[in-house]
Amino acid sequence: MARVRRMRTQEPTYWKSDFRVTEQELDFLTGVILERGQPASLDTLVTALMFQLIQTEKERAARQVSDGEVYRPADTYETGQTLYFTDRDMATATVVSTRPGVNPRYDAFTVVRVAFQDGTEAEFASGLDIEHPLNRPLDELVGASEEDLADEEILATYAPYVAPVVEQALHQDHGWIHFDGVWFLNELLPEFHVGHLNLAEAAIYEAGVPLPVSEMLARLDLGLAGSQQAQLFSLNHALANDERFINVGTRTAQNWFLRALMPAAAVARPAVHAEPFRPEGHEYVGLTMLDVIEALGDELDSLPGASINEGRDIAFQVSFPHLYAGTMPAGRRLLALFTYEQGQRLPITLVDGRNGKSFSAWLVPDEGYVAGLGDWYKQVGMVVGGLVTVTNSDQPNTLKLSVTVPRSSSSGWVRQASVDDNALVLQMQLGRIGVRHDAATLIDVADPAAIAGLMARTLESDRSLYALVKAVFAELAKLSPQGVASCQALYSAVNMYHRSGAVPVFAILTRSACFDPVGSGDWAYDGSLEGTEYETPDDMRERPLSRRNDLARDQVVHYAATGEASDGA
Amino acid sequence: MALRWQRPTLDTRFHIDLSWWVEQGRDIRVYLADLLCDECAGTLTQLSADQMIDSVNPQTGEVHQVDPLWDSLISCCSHKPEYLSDDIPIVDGVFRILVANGNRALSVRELHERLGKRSPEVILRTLTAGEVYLGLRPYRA
Repeated sequence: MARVRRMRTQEPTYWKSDFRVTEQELDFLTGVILERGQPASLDTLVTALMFQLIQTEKERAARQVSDGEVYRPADTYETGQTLYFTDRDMATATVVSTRPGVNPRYDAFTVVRVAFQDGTEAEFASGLDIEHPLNRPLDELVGASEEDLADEEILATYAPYVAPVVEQALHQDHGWIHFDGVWFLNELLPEFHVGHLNLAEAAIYEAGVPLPVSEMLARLDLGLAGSQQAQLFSLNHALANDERFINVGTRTAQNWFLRALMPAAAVARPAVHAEPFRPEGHEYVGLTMLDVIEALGDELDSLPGASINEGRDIAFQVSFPHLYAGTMPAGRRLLALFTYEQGQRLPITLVDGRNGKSFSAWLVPDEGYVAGLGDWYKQVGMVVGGLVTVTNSDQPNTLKLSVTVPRSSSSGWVRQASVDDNALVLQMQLGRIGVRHDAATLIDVADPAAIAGLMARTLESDRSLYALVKAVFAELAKLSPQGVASCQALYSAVNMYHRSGAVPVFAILTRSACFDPVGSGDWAYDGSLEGTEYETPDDMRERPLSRRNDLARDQVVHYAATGEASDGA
Repeated sequence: MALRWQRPTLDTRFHIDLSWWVEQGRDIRVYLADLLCDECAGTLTQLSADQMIDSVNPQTGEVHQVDPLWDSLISCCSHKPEYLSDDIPIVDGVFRILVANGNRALSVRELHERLGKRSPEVILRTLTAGEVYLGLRPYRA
């Protein structure tokens, strides 16, 4: 049999939509912190508050049962008596008058007129011992029922609804302060002044490695008041609000370092890497392009199911954005070598394979790169198109970088990039390259800052990738007697306008009718087919609109489609 | 502004127009008394003609003073099987359903659900055939 009145805290609507944080709730939460004497997570506060609300309602119901003032038609009442009405969410009313009831179907009964606290009046039957849902034992009317959820079940079910409401209320209350999901009272915060923070800065300088606040406190011995937890919270909070410091750890396990000691790309994504064109997966590309994509090793192309050479060393060709920012790609295979959490910046060691010298760098998993290679790139004379091999080391968080110095040191014709009239200009010039490289992607850059400036302006102009591919094709084709350009060179040059993975560039070549593959990775352009795209994998392979006799047909596949049959086979 | 006449549909709500009974010079209470079950018919003889009684809400215990005739029909007689027997004509059935509902208007579809026989279209056609039976008319709020 259904119970007449469910506890408010048993009702989904109470937690999902009616629950509000009032001064009363805030006072309780303040008490939780005061009692603990240390910060508390939002989960802890929500749990404590929900249990408190459940318990309070139970106690109130128990009091009403013991008082015997819950309205039941079978009971009799006197003028002046206060009653609780279970069907009106335990509204209280006072009996103001009584009179005999008239209904020949019942034995003699009384009608009581009651006045509710909101001023309304109503009449109720009393002394009427008939079968009626309210004529039940008091504990059934106001107490627990078998249908009720246990306290823990209420918490598990409704805490996700309550937590955001509590969090918002704490945010809006000036008495509360938070740091990475942990809340504390402003009043209890041990004060860290600038002198303390200067000492913290010195401690990190001295250690030369990121420090957790617990270690900083131990080193500094500041003699502050408050519990250890309060001091840790306070120091974390103070460091987070000082621009000098950066948390390179996780949200829950902070590890503090100095921005001044980190390469810029480890702190924030550089402009040359901004808003990249990324593959979404399932783009159509030529089958032979898969090897090229793998050889380029661009982290933007590193999608699940994309890698075809899992067992080999990790290799990449240096693109302009990486060279300029002193970064290197950290795709899925490289990231799999490390243990990290979201948002973390992991200090790692890189070892120069030529001489065994090691240097510090930062793995930034969220950005997909390793930062801190600027000096090393300069030392080895790195160029756009330079080949680097990465191998794992026996040492923890350590990678070995290998480049090869060519035996021949003679100079040769090299593509060189410059900027003229806000456009990339490519010319062949005599030059000497000091590292092994891929001739297809090799582009020497005399003035890197000018190219970086071009990239910044391109970012503002919002030019499409297709427009950029066309622009660099024109530049590259003029350097070729056949008027063609390789897909690798197009990728390399596009990355001097805007950061892009290879796949988005290759996908444009594959589906655009104005571009035709002519073998060896080279592509030709036919302006009369401008704007026409092939829709099916068969057309992308056969290219029925092409007027070229030297067309090279390449099977077309979906990129990063593991286990999927090739579409153009 | 005069209300515009609209052709009744299956969603048109009907009620018992008490003014129709007055216009026809007929006493609806006499008709209603015939619908009482034996038990209630006996009980009501103990009351004077215009006496009100205290109706007790079956869920809340709240008391309202009501006409004992209507109250008996709503709270007792209409719950008995013979109140809406299978052989009852459509018009009488609709009338009894509306009495049991406290004369709160119901659509033809709702009437059909409660009557449990014939189609809604037949019920609509019967109620709108021309002559008004038992004051059953479309309800205008």
